[in-house]
Amino acid sequence: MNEREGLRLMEYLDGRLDAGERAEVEAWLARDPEARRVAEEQRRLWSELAALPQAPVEASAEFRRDTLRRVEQERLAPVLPLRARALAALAASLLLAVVGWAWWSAQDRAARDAAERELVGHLHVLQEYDFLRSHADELDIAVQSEILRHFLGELPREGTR
Amino acid sequence: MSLRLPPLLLLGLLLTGAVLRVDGGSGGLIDPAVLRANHERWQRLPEPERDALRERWRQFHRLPSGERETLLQRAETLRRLKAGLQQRTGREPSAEDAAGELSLVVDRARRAAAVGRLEAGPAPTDANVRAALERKLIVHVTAFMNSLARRGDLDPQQLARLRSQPQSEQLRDALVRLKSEQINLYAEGVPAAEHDELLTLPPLDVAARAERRRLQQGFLGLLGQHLPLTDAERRTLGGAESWGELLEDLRDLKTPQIRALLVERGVAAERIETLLVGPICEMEREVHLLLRQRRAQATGAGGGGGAAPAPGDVPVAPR
Repeated sequence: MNEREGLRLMEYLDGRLDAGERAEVEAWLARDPEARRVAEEQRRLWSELAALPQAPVEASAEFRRDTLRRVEQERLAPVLPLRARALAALAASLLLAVVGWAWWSAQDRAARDAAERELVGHLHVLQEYDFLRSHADELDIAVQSEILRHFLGELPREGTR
Repeated sequence: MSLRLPPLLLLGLLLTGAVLRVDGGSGGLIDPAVLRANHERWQRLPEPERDALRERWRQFHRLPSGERETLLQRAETLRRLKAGLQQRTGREPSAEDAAGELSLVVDRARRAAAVGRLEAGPAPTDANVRAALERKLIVHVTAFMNSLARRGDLDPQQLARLRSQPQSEQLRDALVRLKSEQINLYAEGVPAAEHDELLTLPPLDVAARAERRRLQQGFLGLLGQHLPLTDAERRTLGGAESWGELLEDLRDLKTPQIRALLVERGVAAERIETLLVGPICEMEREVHLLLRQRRAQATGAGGGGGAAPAPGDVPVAPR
């Protein structure tokens, strides 16, 4: 029996054929014993299925919870395949390490630069260190006399001479 | 892309931003001209010498703060002294040159301190010189503050607060006010960039510049512009033995012209005579304000300034 004949037989057993078509199939069954055997098997199967109990199937609360959890996990699961996920994690770690290293080294460099800048700003002090110490008294007089010099014009004529 | 990557990238960006921000920080309050000159010298130094200076910098930082301040003051004075020397000689002064110049400064200070002492008296010691300079300085600074108060630039409360401060703080505040005064006078007719540069300089550097300008043009401000020095007058002033003497010689040279200028501007005769024997800086400031006021009136803008006496002047007398 080919597929088209099998479908025709199922439609006949389901009662979906009109009178002419039904007569054709019955004629075919009358002359073909193999077709009659298949038709008999099909009819018995359908009648057994129809005899099965019709009680409603209720899922347990535990089954529903587990199912929902599994669905949730599946929804969150990475879209990338395992190898791509491993590479992405590695790249992220490397990026973090490089940025972290750059940050710390820049902090360190900024601190060193600031210290060096301050040192350079006071270079004249450091290079003259020995002179400043050995001529301390004279320099103290020079400091005072320098400040005084800039206020000298503040007294009346007789006071500045 | 994994859902865990975006937060990591965001963190990375934030950290990068932090790095750039840290790197973009600026330096401390160092005179830009000094920093530039020092930087050029630093670039030329060999590494072992730099290491020695780094070690010295660490030593310097271990000093008590008062000692550090004193050392910085001495270094600043020495720097200005050497800069003046270099300007005169055209070459970088050696340690011997600096020591020689320093001796001259101390000799001049000794002579200034000895004014008022008996000629036959013993030469003052360094300690005596320092004490005498300090007394003179207090007298002059007090006169400066009184002058600002008379002019209305310090109210009586500010003046009282200044007087109640310890001497070192009074001196610091006086130097800051001196800087502001000198910038006002000095900045007449100078380019805006130079004016801005003056704001960044320490008070004594501004004062040193103002002093150089006085040597070139005579009085500061509009008075100097109205009565510029001739070459002959500059040569005459070159013979002065001290800065105080130079200022008085300047006034002596210019007295007839100042008197004529003030008469022409309608200043009362009595006030003119007071100005001509009063403090030179006060005359310089008052005439500057007067000329500015007249100029503003001529151009239709407002002007300010006056010389109202302030209550509670501290009497000053040279010692």
